[in-house]
Amino acid sequence: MSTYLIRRTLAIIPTLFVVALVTFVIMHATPGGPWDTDPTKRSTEPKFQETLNKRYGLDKPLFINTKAFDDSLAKGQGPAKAAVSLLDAQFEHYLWNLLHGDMGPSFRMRGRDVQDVLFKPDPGRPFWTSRFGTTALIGVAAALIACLIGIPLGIIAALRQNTIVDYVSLFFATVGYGIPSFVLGIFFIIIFAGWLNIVPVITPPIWMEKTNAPNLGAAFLPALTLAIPTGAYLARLTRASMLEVMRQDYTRTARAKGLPEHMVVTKHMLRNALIPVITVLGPALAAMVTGSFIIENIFSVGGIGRLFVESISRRDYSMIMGTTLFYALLVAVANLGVDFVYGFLDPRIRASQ
Amino acid sequence: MAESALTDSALAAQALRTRKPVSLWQDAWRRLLRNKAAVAGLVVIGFFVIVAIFAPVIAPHTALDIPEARNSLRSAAWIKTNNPNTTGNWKYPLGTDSVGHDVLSEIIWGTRTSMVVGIVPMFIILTIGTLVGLIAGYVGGNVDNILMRITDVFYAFPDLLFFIIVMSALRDTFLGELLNGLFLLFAALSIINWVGVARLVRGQVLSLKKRDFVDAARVVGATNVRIMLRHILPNSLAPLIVVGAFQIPNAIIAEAVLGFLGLGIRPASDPHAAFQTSWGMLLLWGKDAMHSQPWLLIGPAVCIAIIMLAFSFVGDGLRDALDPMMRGTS
Repeated sequence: MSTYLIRRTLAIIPTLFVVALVTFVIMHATPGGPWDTDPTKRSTEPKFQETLNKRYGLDKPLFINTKAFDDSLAKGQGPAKAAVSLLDAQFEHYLWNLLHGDMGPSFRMRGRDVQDVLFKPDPGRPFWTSRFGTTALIGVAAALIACLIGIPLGIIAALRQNTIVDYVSLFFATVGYGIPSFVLGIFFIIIFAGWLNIVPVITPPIWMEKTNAPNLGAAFLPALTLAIPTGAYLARLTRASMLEVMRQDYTRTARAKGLPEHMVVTKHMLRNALIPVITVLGPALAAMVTGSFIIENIFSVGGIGRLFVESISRRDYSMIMGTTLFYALLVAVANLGVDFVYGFLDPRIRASQ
Repeated sequence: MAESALTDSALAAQALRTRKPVSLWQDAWRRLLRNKAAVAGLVVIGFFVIVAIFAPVIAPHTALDIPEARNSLRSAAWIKTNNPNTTGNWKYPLGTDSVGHDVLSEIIWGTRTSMVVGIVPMFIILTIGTLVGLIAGYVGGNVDNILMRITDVFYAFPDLLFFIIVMSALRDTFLGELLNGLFLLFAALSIINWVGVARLVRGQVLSLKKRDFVDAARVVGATNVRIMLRHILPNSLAPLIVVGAFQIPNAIIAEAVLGFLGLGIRPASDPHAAFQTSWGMLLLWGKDAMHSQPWLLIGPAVCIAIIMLAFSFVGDGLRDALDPMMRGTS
């Protein structure tokens, strides 16, 4: 089991490497560069451009520096040293710095490093008010809402099978699962900002200016939007799983030996019924992570997702790399989490590996 | 009672005489038609397909027409104001947008884009995924290893991030301008999504190739290609169909998200273009004009929601119909 988990953990590294490589290649295949000034497309002065290129290392080749290789050989250095100088190129430099926790300077937010923009709050404010904290708050709130609504709804529906309670919750679960959070977000904007006029189209800052406490009013709609499809999915799954468990012999045995109903439900049914539910939490969380950046753009929340879309249109190379890698890491970790939980929950799997 | 006198075997024989034997597919089709939600979904999808095909006939205007001057941001037909330039008018049932296009026509034309974005990549995905999966599963060994490592990589890429990067990066290149940007959209959607299909088919092949009927085929001298295409593939069609059905709504929603971020298809300038606008694009414009022209938001959002539900019902129905063992498990 542990070798399996270690292997799965190490598999994240090649994954991230490929994500970095693909992003890097596509980004540099893009017409236009970070020094173009929108919207007139007037380029910066050549001399100034040269200085900037040098400072950000953009004067070097993308992958293989043959010029440094030739120079090195000409200087009479050995083949080993010359081979190393082949790697004196943009992509290798980026990876090397990344290994040291340095995601490089942002091309557009002058004087700030990418990791600072992602993880550092405004001066004098606590860590959790950073871009990352904002995204995390929405994500965690959404996950909590999804679990706290979805799972109990599924349990109640199963316990009251084929009653009006069951039909109503199944209806909402089916509809909620079928409509993606992107469309739900648009509906909420139409209803709350358009018709009722109770929230502004642009969400106010998620963190209060003075107290640094979360502004629950502002975070609620984005979190709810993100939570509904996942919650609905959890409800459907919990219901199906409960119905399965109800038919099992051990449930009948528990009833037959005279246990009070609440003991049968909590001790015998729930513990077994929740196993499949917990195993889908990982992919569900991963889906929420990638969903979050659409939601951030719909509600104009200042998290990492919004940063990603902004940096794309600004051709902020290092920021695009940074945010993409960050999201890829989140998704990979969420999926990895399932394997861990799965192993702990189901002894059969633990034994087979 | 006459029947009670018959023995069980006689009853079975009678049943065989009165009812023609049905194939597996006919049986599945009958089960699908008994599922009310799935039938409703099929009807809705049929309606949208018809709207998409006959958009030029159904829509009162084209999506690029500006039928008359001083006609921008007209309200929906049933809302009357004192200003003759913005009061509701049944010539424009859902009003007009900020340029003066008829909103209803724009939504109808948008149906075309969504449908084609849903259907074309699905076929590409199924073809590539099936080919790779068949080869990986059937040949096995190093070929399988390499192909599966490649799928691992694509699997890990957060799909929407990939679409956004590709669409924004290659938008202004030759590829991005083919078919108003539809080509690039098809390519981006296909590159990521074939992976799931490949894994599914590979799994099927691995379990099927040890079965007796494959050995039997080999014994009578069938070639490898024939075994793959005639014996293994038809037996893994059922899960493929289900995956294909869920692929379509995924592509439609991806197009809408990209359009909303301004990265979908390019707005057409030719009034004879087959794909003039998309729901995602309308949502993007609609968000800015939410108070003056809410229908630019409501129309596409309702359409997307309905079509998502329809496909999700049909997908569930297909899964139940094709694999009765799995009924009610999710």
